[in-house]
Amino acid sequence: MKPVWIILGVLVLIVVGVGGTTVSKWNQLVAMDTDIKGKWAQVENQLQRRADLIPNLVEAVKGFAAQERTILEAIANARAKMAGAGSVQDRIAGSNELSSALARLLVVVENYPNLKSDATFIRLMDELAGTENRLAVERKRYNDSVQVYNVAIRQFPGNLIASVSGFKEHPFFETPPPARQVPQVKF
Amino acid sequence: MAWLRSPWFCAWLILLAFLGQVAAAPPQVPSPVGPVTDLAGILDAATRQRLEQIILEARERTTAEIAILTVPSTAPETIEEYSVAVFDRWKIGKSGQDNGLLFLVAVQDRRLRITTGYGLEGILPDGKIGEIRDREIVPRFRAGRYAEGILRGTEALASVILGQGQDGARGKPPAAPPARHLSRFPSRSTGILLGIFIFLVLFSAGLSSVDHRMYVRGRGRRGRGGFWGPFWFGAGSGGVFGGWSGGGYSGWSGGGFSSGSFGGFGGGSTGGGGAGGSW
Repeated sequence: MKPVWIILGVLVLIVVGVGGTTVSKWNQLVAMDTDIKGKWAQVENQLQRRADLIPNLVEAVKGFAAQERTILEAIANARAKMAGAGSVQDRIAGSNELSSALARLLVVVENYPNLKSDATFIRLMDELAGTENRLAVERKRYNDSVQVYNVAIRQFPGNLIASVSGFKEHPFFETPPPARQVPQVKF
Repeated sequence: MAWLRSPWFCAWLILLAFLGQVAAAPPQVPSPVGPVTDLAGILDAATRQRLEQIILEARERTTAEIAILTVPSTAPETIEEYSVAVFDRWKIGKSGQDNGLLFLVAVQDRRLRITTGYGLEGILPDGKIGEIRDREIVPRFRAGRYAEGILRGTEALASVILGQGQDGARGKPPAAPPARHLSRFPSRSTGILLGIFIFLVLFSAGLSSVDHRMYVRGRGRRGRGGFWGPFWFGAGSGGVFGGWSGGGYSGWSGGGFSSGSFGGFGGGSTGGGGAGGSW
């Protein structure tokens, strides 16, 4: 075997190896990025579903607890803010604000046993709880995809390809830990 | 280059690829023994039989799948997380239609949850499930009549599924198709195979210029070593990269389970919808 064949073979192997790795890595990143967009669309579905439930919930609460104006306004404001938010980060921040407003509402509702036993309200709370769970599931799936992708574009050789082609890190859908509130007892 | 051939190097490469897969371990969930899996031991034989009849009828007439699971406790997970984990592993409901339902009871926790796939959410919205829970299940559970509660609850759920007829239970396709979990990206293995194939072609092209006796098996360790070394390097680097990119929650999803007479569920998934409660 002539030495020139060995050198040629090794060179071609290197070129093919580098080219093959680059192409397959690029395709992986594209597939991951598209997957994340699909998962975010699912998160958006659930955010929309929750937003649609809010007016009904507010109406039901007003029927029994109209004087709780502050919390009802806080919810309406949070929902309006979410509707106006555009970027993924803004949506996440808006969603967290709405979640904390809803949590405060649940604490308030405890003071109204008539409201708690109202059939419509119970149905709405079931729907809301179901939607929150769906949101949690889609959020987790989104975060799992984002984690894999963010690691891939920071590790070698993904980081080289990403810096050339403009693949950016996606934000995680982080939720703040529930605030530890001491329930206020009103006499 | 003798070290490339050593079994330790190969083992190290395999271990490296494997470690990338174990990134996030999902919660441990049991395997189903049938449509009704009673790990808490609260169902008598007659009730179990009746439940299986109902489930079979629902499945035959509408392809919707109902699964019932009782456990002592879902700790350390919440019942919501546990339900989704079970649903993801068992894949209840027809694949593509996602018309599955999981009725989970955690007896010691005194909590229950009914989880539906996207395909059933149209006819069994959370509110309706809550209604059935409050009317049929919780009053009986509070009186300690678990088997009867599960039976009446399942009957009510099945009658909704059947009452809507075949079209209802098949469900509308979800508005945005649920994105499939991350799985092996085909381009990775294609790229590696392409590289290896081209290398092999070149190598044999180089070899063919010499005496044909080189193809004889007894050529000697030297020839074998030269052949296998680069192969391991290609597969190893592919394994390392593939291991990191393929790791994550869904790395272990799928895979059938073989249990005697039970054929398994249809491959459906859930978005986490449904209703739960405690008693």
